[in-house]
Amino acid sequence: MKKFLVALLAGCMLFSLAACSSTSSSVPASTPASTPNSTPASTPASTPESTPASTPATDGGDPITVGMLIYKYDDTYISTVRSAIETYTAESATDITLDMQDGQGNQATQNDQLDVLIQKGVDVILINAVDAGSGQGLADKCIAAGIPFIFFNREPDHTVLQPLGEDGEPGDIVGLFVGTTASEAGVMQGDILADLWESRPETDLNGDGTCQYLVFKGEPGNPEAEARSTYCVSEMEDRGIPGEDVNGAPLVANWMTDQAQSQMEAILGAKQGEIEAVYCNNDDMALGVIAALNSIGYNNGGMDEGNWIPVIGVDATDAGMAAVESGKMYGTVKQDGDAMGKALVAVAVNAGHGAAAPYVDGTGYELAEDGVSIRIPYSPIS
Amino acid sequence: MEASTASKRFTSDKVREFFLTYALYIILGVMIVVVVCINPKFLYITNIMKILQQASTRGILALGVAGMIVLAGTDLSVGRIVGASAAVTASLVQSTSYASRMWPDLPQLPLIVPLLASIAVAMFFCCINGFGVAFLKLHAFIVSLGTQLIAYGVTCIYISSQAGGAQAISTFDQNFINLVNGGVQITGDVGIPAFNNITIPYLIFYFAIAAVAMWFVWNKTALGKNMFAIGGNTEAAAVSGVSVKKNIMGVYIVAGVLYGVASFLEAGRIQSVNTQTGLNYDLDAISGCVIGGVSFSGGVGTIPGVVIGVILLQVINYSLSFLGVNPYLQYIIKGLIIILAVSIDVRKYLAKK
Amino acid sequence: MAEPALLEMHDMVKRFPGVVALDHAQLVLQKGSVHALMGENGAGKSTLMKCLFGIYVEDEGTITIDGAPARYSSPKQALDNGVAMVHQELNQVLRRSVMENIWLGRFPKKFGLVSTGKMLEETRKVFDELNIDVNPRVQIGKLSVSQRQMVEIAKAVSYNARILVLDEPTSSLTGEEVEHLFTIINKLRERGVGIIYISHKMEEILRISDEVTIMRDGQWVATRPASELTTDEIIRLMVGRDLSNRFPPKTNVPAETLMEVKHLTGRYPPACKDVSFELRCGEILGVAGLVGSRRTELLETLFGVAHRGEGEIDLSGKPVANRNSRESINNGFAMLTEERRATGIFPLQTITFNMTIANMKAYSHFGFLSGKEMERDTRRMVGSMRVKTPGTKTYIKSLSGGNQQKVILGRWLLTEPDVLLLDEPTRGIDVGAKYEIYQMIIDLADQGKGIVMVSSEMSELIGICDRILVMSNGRMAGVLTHEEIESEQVQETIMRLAAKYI
Repeated sequence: MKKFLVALLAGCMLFSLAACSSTSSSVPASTPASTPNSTPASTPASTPESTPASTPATDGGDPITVGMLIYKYDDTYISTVRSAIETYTAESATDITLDMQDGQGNQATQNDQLDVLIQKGVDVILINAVDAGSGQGLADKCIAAGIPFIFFNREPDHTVLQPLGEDGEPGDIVGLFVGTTASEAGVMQGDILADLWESRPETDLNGDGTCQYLVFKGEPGNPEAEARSTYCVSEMEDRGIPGEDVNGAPLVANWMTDQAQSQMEAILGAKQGEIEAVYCNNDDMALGVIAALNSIGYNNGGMDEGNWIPVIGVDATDAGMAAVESGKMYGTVKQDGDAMGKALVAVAVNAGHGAAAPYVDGTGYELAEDGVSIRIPYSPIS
Repeated sequence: MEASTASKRFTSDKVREFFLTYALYIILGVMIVVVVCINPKFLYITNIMKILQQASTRGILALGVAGMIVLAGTDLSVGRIVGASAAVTASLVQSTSYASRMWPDLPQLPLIVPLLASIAVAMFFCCINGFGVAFLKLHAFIVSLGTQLIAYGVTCIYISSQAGGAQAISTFDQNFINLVNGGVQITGDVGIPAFNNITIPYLIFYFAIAAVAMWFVWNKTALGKNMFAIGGNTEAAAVSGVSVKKNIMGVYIVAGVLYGVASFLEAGRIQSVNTQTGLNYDLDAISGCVIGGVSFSGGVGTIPGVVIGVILLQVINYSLSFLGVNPYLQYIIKGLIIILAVSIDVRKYLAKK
Repeated sequence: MAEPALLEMHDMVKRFPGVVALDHAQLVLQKGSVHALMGENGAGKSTLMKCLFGIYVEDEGTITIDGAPARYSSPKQALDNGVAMVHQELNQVLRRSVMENIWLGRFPKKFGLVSTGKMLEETRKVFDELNIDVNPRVQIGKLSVSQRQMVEIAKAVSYNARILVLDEPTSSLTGEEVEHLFTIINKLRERGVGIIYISHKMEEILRISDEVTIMRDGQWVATRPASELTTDEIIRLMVGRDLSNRFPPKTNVPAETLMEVKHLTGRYPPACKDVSFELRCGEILGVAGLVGSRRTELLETLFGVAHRGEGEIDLSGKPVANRNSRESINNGFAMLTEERRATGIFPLQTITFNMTIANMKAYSHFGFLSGKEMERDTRRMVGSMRVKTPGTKTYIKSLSGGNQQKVILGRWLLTEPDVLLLDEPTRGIDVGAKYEIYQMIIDLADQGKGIVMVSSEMSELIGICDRILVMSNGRMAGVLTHEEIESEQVQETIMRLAAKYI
């Protein structure tokens, strides 16, 4: 009996190991399916100085291997970036092999994974840092190994991408960042509300000309969370609408639906009727806020059906979009995962073929004012 | 002279004993009084109902975890099991009119189907835990640590398998939402506006039913009695002819049913399930049990204790948000109250010498 | 052909890693008889019984009951087939009620649910029949050890077993309770139950049993009718040599007063009340009394483990506070606890750890412990006390009871105490080891230490003490002088005093 058990367990483990290895994420590119009309950089205008004549049969240049460090696989937004990358990789003229690693929200894990990628000798590394503050360490490892690196989504300090020279002035650019402007989502949230405020006077429930609002923050210290929490309010005030935080300070719900819901329920118990708008750092929390509002008979439909207050999220997830369509949620801000994926594939191919940092030459993308990043715009939805 | 000091000591011991026996209730009472003094609105029936409603799903989970703690174990996998079961529930109750449904071809199922599916998923993971504890002789801490990861992985795979990637599963059938979030309306005018037209949420009834059922299991079935015996002294149970393995499995299966029910309800309560759903619910459930006097050394605990413990925890959570206490300060206050409550409660069992 | 015996066990062999616990042992039990099973600790008595009860699986041998092979795979199966056992360790779920402990594993049910009412009724029935005065609803952990032992016996009886194994049932019973137990045993014997009785107490064995089987080193040595045996004969068979004298010669001489206790009263009940006595250097003061007379509480109050309510303790003329054990140890006190398994040993730690744990301060240099010094002291104590152990790195759990007790005694001796408080120092220890413990106690007194020794075995108090303090219901009933101990009526005097305040 016992031996049987051991055998069974061992069998299970072997099986699961086999299963894991067979799903290791390598996406063999269907090479020639280049779709010129879809990519801005569709003609990877093979930068002459980087590609010697020894080009193989395909016109996409040498096949490359791209290593990717993802901060956390199950992040909703990042998962849209991931699937976009997989799509564009498959469509690319270059034969690209992807090697993705899940950092599980743990910087130490990610550091180990970077070592593994370097050992495997990938041609270029895309880094979605768990902790943007550890960017220098990650970059140093890549530089030492002579592998080009591109940060995305989570922004490292710019000296990581462009170290200061001995004179204290910015020196040579060594890397690239692809991402959004942290403040932008918050600004768009503020604009969405300001537009509503101006077009619909009854949004000001008590008619005092001041917006009594709540902010649900993702997690304290997270740069995106902090920026969104700050800029949604400052943009609204810049547009001439004074604000007053009903709770006195942003609520912390750790990006989670149930935490936002519980807290919103408690606040409604104390301050029902005093709240005129709710900003949430992401859609998941916005949905929790809406569930809490629903339970007291608010926001069961659009703004013209009974009690309703505007709730504004970020991310434009499917669930969030559904809520916007039904009128329960007023608006959300879309982080364009698709555009981000497209840009990353383009610069990765360029870097993999030997282009110099910041790898944008010939891709059709332009650097932002800071000279070391490509900014993917958000788009407001309401 | 001597007699008077003796009698004084006698009364002071009595007072002490009274405080210890009712420590939890006293703490709960003091907290409520403090909150009411700051904001009298707290006494509105809607607030009380909300607290009970929020305590319901966690309470049902805590009733399951309590059994494992009585067995001198614990369960760190509750949260992730809830995640898995709630994801399955959510995918089976999505409104047929919602475009990004996980299973686009699925008709609207009778609600018993997702409920049973949820119970089946939870029971599966509980059986892994039970098997590890009863047959592989591992500590529950270790097994559930492993199961927790397995359940999380399964949840992630399941949720990511949607057409749109790792999106939250949401937009549920209205019948389901009503079943979970509806309530019994009591209309009437008692003269005080805050107490007119009371709605008692169904969730509170579900919790009450679960608590009563578990009270029976703990006090009126051989499984319950054996559970206390195994937790209190495994060897004594074994030499008395109790089948230790069978009973441990029994406790885990009962917990599986409770987890399944709670996950089903939780999916309806938060109305949107993603990979992070359930995170840290284990800690809430365990703290509820511990506050309620379920001893980590095993063999001790009562259902009313668990119920009060969970409610006390929810009162803390609710009132801190209710009063708009600084969120960072909230963590500190919560931690202090938990330590205070438990340290007073354990005093009950410390024999004085 | 004769009718087969109720139980026959033949050629039983059981090996544990490195040890042969049973080496072709045998036992034949007749219906309606009491069969004593004797042997030193480690002789294989408990192992043999555990094979019968389905806890161990024997490697070789046959077990038959009424001529039919009986091979149980679990205690449950044994119980179902009419074999019940009272274990030496009280295996009870302390936080549950008495009745739940009794019916554990076979709760009376009504409509599939456990019926508390029926359980209470059944428990009362059993208790009434056996004349046991215990409330079935009370938490078992709140009972005294002797009450718990009686409950355990009642539980075994309630199985209506054909074969009843009693493993050291009297180890914590008083004389009166032992009589009570014997009444029960006689009743069961008349009913035709076969009883296997394991005990170290010779007097009891000779009184109650019909036959005696003696084991040594896992082997069967002899089976004789009890009427043909004497104490000395049994001891000779058990140890394989003569041990005519059970107590070593007393060589200690009490000198000047060491400790004076005045009106000592505990704070929380149950507590000792108004106890006053003095202890001299080099004196062994016995403390006698019935179970529940709060002898242990007296020691605990002296040692500061239990709160002192009133009273004073003077050591060498100076009052000491002894507010907790740490302070008491610093003041030169040491205490050996009654329940060795529960409050004495650290089972999964080495001999060295167990020996030195109370004396860490002495090995600490600048915050670091010196392993060398600890090892040196442990070796010295192991040698001087003749602890039988493979080495100092052995887990104490694997030693016999007597050797465990020596290690714990050694632990306290290393703290170089002036006053040693010993609570039942020889409980559950076999005859040979007892003699060595007595010798050690007398040697310590010889070195000028004062010793207070609580014991339920009157013979050992009489055998090695200089004076005996008798407790009755928490109060001091009197102190017997050396002359009184020497007299013929000593046992009677003690019994009379012990009942003084009841």
